[in-house]
Amino acid sequence: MEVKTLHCMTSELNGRSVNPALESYLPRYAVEVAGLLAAARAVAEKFPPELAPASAFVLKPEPPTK
Amino acid sequence: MSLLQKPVEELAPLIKTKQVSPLELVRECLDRIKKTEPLVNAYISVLDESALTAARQAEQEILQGRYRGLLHGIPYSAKDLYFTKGIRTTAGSAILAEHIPTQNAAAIDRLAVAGAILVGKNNLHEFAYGTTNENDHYGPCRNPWDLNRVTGGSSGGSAASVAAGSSTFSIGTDTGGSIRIPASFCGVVGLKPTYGRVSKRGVIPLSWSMDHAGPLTKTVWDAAAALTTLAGYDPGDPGSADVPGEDYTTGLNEAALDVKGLVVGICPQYYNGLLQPTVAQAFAKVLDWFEAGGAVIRELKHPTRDAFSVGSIITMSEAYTYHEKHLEQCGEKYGPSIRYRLEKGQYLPASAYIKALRLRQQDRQIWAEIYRGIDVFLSPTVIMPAFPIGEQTVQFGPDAVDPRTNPVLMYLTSLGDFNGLPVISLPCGFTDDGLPIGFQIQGKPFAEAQVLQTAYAYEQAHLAIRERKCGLWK
Repeated sequence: MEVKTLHCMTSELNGRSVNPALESYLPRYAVEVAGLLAAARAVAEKFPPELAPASAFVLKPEPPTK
Repeated sequence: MSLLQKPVEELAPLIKTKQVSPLELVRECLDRIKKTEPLVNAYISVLDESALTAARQAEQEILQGRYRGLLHGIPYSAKDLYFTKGIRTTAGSAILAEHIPTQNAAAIDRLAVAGAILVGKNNLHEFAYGTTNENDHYGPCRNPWDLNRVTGGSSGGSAASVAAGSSTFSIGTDTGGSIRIPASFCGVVGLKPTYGRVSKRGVIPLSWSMDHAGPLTKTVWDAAAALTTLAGYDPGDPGSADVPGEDYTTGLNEAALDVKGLVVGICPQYYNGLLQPTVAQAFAKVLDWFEAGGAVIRELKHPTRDAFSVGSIITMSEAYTYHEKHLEQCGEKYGPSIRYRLEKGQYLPASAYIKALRLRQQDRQIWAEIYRGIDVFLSPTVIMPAFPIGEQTVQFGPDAVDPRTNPVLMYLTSLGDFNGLPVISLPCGFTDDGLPIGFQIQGKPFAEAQVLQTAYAYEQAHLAIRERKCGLWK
């Protein structure tokens, strides 16, 4: 991932300003974010196709097994 | 022996029978805070006046025969992430340094109704987004077992205050391990209930779909008592589960001590080659004890171990969304490491967030399958004991990593936030240097009773570990 891509995302997609502190983070982000997204893609390939997104959830008690 | 060395289990009958006055107990607690705070820094705010007023009221009520229950007159502290009406709630940040809520968090209200007395607001890792509790604005919280070491975080002040005796119990939050990591480092009990079991209304969020609220206590019984008060449906919290709570102390009895036939799952693939030797030895002894008691140890393979990295996408995305406005308007007020982590969340596309949510759903289905063959799941809490404050790197397998930016400390705890299952961390030994080591017991959804009973069985068979006190008591 290129630093300028992140720069554009901040200013054009997210409507934020790129201040000096954020500017200094971008080279590291370019490496770390790419790694995270690659991991998510790799894991997603194992999903069963019928698995729906779950944006909110409430766990339910399981019946006793013994 | 100071009253503050006693757990709630021992204090409650003394208060009920008027052998101990809540006023006496709260005064002792406030004195203890004054004595230990210069060393430990477990509090951001101490509430002398309101605590004494509440203690006088509790004393009057009890003298008049209106005893409310186990927590009546018991002094406690809360992570400074819980809203307290009229009392500043900083989240350990400079941004909210003067923030005074107009309402209490639901948990604070529940504890007030039970008659517990809030003595102060605990130090934490800024906005609960970190695991060392080296707070840039309020100073590092120091580990009562070795003041040069971290407490772990983000509920570090909560754990340290319980260990130091400057609170009887505390309430914290856990998004990647923030109750259990400091519990492990400070030698106390930390309970992260099932997602939705305890209301988070009025708790400043880090990641609303991963945040959990729960107690840190001296003993397993105390955790059960606190959960009994804290648990319950709250329509004001969208994540709250409409599942009734119960009196979790009633199951902690003679029958709970028998672990014969209990099926214990373990997953060495998580931690083989990563544990520091003292942690590995302590955890091996835990398993030996369960096996000797007739439990069946079953080794599992967990195919969604990738949850560790992918789950962080959820936390990063949600945390960024909550903080976006402040990052733009006053980003310089954040501590550098927090700002670095928060800003990263803006670069994660919606598709990544949704993939992570889907993996979480899948992970829950996998755990439901796993729990058809086991009763509880055990692992060490953290791969290492507490390290020195300011330590630049710690060992994570073959790598030396910065514990402030690398999730090494939550490597074994974040699973419990991702799957939302109830987990308790309790002490299982000490290093040669006298640093506490913890292990965790995870259970089925809403099976806090079984988790507590299993922890109770272990604790009661190892009372010497529980009774050991940190050096601040000498």
